[in-house]
Amino acid sequence: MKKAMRLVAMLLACAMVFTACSSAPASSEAPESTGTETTEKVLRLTHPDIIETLNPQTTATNYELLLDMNASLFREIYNPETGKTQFVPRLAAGVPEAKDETNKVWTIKVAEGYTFVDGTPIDAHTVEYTMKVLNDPKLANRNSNASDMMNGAAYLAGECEWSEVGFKAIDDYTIELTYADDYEPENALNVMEYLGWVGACIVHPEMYESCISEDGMSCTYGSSLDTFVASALYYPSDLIQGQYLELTRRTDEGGQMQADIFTPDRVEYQCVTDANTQVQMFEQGLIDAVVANQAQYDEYPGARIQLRADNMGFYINGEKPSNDILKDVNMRYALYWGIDREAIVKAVYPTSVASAYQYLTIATMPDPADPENAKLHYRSTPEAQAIRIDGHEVTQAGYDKELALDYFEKAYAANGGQPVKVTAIYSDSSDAYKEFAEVLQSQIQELFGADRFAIELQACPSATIYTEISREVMNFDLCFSCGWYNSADYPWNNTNWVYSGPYTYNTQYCYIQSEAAREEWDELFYRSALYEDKRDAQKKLENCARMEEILLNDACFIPVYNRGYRWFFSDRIDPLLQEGDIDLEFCLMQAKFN
Amino acid sequence: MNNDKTLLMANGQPAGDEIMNKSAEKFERFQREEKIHDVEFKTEAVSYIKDVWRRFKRDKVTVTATFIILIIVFMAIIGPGMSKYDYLEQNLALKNMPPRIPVLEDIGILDGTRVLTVQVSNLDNYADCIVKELDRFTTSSAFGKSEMAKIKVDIYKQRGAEDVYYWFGTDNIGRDLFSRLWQGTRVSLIMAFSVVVINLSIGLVVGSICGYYGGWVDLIIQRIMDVIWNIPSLPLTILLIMLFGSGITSLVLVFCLTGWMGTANSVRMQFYRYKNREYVLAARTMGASDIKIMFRHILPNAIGTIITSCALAVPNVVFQEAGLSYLGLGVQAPNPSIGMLLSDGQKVLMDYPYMILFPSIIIIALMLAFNLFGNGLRDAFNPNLRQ
Amino acid sequence: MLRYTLQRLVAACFTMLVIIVVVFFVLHSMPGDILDLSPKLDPAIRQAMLSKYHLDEPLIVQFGYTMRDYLHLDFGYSLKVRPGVPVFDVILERLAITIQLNYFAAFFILPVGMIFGITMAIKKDSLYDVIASSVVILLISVPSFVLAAVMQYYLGFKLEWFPLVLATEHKLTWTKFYSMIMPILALSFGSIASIARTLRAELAEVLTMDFMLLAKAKGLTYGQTITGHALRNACVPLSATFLYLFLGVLSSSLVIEQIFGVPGLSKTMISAINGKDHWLTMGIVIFYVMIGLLMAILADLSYGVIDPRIRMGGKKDE
Repeated sequence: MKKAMRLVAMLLACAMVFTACSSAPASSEAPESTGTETTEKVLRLTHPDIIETLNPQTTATNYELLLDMNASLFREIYNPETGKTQFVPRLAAGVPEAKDETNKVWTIKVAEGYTFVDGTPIDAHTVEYTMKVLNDPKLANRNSNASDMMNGAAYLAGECEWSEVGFKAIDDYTIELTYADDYEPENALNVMEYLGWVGACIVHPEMYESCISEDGMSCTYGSSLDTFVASALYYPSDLIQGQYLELTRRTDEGGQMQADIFTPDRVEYQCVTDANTQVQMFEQGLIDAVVANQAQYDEYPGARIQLRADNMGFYINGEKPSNDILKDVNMRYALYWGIDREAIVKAVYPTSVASAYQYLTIATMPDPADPENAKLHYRSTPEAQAIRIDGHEVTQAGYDKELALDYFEKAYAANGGQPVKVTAIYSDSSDAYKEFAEVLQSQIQELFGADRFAIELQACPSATIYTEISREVMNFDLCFSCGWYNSADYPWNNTNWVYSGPYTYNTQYCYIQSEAAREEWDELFYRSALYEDKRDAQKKLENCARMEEILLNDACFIPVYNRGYRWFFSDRIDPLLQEGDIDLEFCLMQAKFN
Repeated sequence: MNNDKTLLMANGQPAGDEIMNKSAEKFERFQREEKIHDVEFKTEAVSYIKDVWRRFKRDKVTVTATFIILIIVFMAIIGPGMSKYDYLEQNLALKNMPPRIPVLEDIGILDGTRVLTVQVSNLDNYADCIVKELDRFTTSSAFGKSEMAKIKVDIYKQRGAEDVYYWFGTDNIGRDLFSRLWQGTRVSLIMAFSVVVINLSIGLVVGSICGYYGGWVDLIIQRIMDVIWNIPSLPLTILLIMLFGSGITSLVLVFCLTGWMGTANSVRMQFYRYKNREYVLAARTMGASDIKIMFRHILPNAIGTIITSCALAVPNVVFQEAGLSYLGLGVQAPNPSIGMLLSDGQKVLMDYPYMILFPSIIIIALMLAFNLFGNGLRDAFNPNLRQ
Repeated sequence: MLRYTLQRLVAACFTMLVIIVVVFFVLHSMPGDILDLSPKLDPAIRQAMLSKYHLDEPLIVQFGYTMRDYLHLDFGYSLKVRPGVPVFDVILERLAITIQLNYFAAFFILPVGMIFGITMAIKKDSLYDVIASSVVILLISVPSFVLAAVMQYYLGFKLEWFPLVLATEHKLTWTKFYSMIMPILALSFGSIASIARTLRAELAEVLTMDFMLLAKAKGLTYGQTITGHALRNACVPLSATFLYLFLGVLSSSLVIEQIFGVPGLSKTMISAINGKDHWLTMGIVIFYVMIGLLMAILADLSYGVIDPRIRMGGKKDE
């Protein structure tokens, strides 16, 4: 026994030493004085993921957070006067200028006087260095963007030198950007978007070099506070991996970029993922903003609904399902019309809106009359309103029981009157998806009769669901809960980056049945996104409406609702968020403090 | 207790001490001349099983535990049919209804009321269904101040369902929680029992082979068990469910993957202990087959330990399934299980505490009852452990 | 002893090797793309990344590369959860808080569990025993996610006795310790219950043994017999449990981490699996397997140290 105790004590001592060593903080600065607490504008938030990396070149999710710490040439901000987001110069001095009409070569002026937080000056060479290491073929950073630049793809593949790539610092404060032959930027906005991308944020050259491993294959830049130098208005003053991140506003002269736009003096992010914990923290005044979809807040007046650019619904696998009936367009129409979207939204997602449209209810389009600035609400355009599904008018609720039954009877008879059993998968990542699947299953079975059309549910891990429904696998009959993500401002551009056939959303997930329609859809897609109709707002609008019509008439993806979150904010801040807005990051970082 | 039948005193102590303490005067002398007959025992022969049963039913706690188990099993069989609402039947208009039970509602518990927080200006909407106003306060948010009132509302009245009784309330898509609870119990118990049966069969066979034959067979199986035992269970479970899809079959597979080893080990130990005993040698000499020696002569020695560990394994499976449900890896929707109901309830703990209450009671009752039952069984099988 | 230890180590290495092979192939047979869930990645970058990680080569070749790296004790880099950071460092940065939490939990568990166990054994079959056993079973029969959430809601939110989530301080200060109390409690209940139960059973058995009668006959007081004789013997089978308690400080509970905002290792493991960050998943699994194997060997060896009657290495019943 004594020996046992001695052994235990020894182990204990060892572990204590180990604990003490490993818990030593990486850096401890930012002394806090309680006296300034009252005037300091502190924004306290939760964040699901702190923080996979501070390196803008390898991050996969935390774009906005990293843009607060890493300066890019341009940055998108929210303009409270117009109520829209816009790109403005940050490190750049003014908008990019095209050399000639072909829009191939652009010059960008870098503003003088900005520095990293450690005082290292920022100039055109810093930017060029950044682009060089960003696209380094050995490092293979996931946020590389060289493909659009001249010789960029070749550089990425390791086939040419950096000096041949179309990105040059021609003097200390001027950059010349030459695009690749197959990429045509439309206007200065495209260039600003291109250089406002998180990957294009500058990195500290000296620090970056010291972080590259010997074989040049990996770089630890930004993996901790010690290996990171901030370049934007905020710098990370404290970081506990997986738990806490604190951003502090720079006070030095060289860091005052967009200083009048972003308001907080300090931002504290705490990593809390449990929804109940978050709400409890908000109620105790520990955080300033929270998503509270809980029913007990139904009557609280301070809520703002934020609509996400997700059109949730379900996919029907008409390509090679075990059931022939799903190939029948009548069956798919029956499913389309047979869903009581209002009831589903009310039951499952009280903060969302029903939507039977392929494109988001909130989608906007450039106004043909004023393509540069004004935007139209897509749904209110005559082109969108003219769309019919098999002769029937499309409404937001899209529910017609009789019609659905008519279609079902036709399909059922055509299938030889055989009882049908289909497997529907859904993502197991959240309870809401499960409920959605359960309600859909119950509604459909009830409407058509479980003895005639039975649905079996199968949860699918969120990590594999996109593979399951991808074109190569198609391992399902129906897929409940998957979203059709399309950007609210560019509804025709369903993917952010379009390269070739297999990479468009259509052929990746949504398998249009008729081959002719499929080809037409793809052609319209490329024409609008890349080729001849790219600069013609009217044509784009028409194409967009036609594409939606094709999708609706094929009914391979059945939209159900547009996801919404209910936000509450503490009375300490006055966020720039209107009902139904999409972009939240701006509203918080640009909030007014009371 | 009759002193004729046993030499134990009423308190279970051997009679020896008592006699020793008595003074000699109290003893009465027998006549030597009288013939002493062997008295035939008036007791019947008691088999091992019968003895176990006798010890078992003597323990009140164990009997109560058995009774609780029987009630739960009974309810798991008939419970889902007792309510007039099916466990899958949804009623979106009547979702999140609080529990309401006919008799109890008159004394103020489970009466279908909930405390709501509403804006004072909206109080009119609830005018006819407010039971009591509890509190008024002011909230302030980024969008101004507002007068709020805390009111106790008869939800059934509010939704116009005064003649409806959901005994345990409804969940967030309007399914009757009473039916779901018992259906969930049924699913959980079926899963637990099948896991135990599978583990038992595999464990018995593998353990017997290992223990009886020993040598390289044992060595190889021990190594395999070592490998399976040492793979961390959470990542393994997640990976398996990713590969095979979720559902009862996968879950049973996951639980059985490591579960059989406990049984196998204890069976193996018993075999090592008994296989060289004289009676086994005797049986072998008389030409009994290996199978017969294994299952007729050696295995019965281990029966007590095995049955006890099985009893304890049942609630453990239910419990582990609950943990997996929390991670979204539980049984397949829309089927309920106790774990699924618990994890659903945990997510709305702040809003609807009753949703977690009833499944909690069931899982606690199951754990408690099976543990006490298991302990009672162990004591009954192995009276050495008792005083 | 030395020979036995060596044997065990060799066996452990073999086990480890088999597990690495199994986990590698199970991980890589997961459906889906390791690099990205969406098709948004530029094909050129994609190709560059594929060849950087040898993902464009046959699985068996990839396995060769991985094993070669492991032989050089290079566990690779995290791909998505902490891009570019060596797997070893990712594990290390999550360990401190996990160890702290588990240590405090162990210090709480040990006395409480033992007090429960001893009192229950002494008063065996009394009302106290029944009630205490029921409480103990109650504590282990509520799943930790329910218990933790209920505790957080009532003790943290309603009563405001404890902070809702872990304090955001680097050093172990009083504030941080205070905020750790709820997670520690939530972590402890299961172990308290299991120690109390095992100790009760063992002690009850020891109490009936002959040497206890001898001790009583020698004239020792009841307390002396319990602490000097009964407990010592009852603790031998429990020594492994105690050892595991202190060595098991590296394990962590996902539920507790999620509810109390603790940056522990389980969270990282889940995101590694879900994000198909295979190198990180492998690293964490190997780490846990190593700890597990070492713990088993240590526990076995410690039996010999604690109770010389148990001899290692010899086949017992043959």
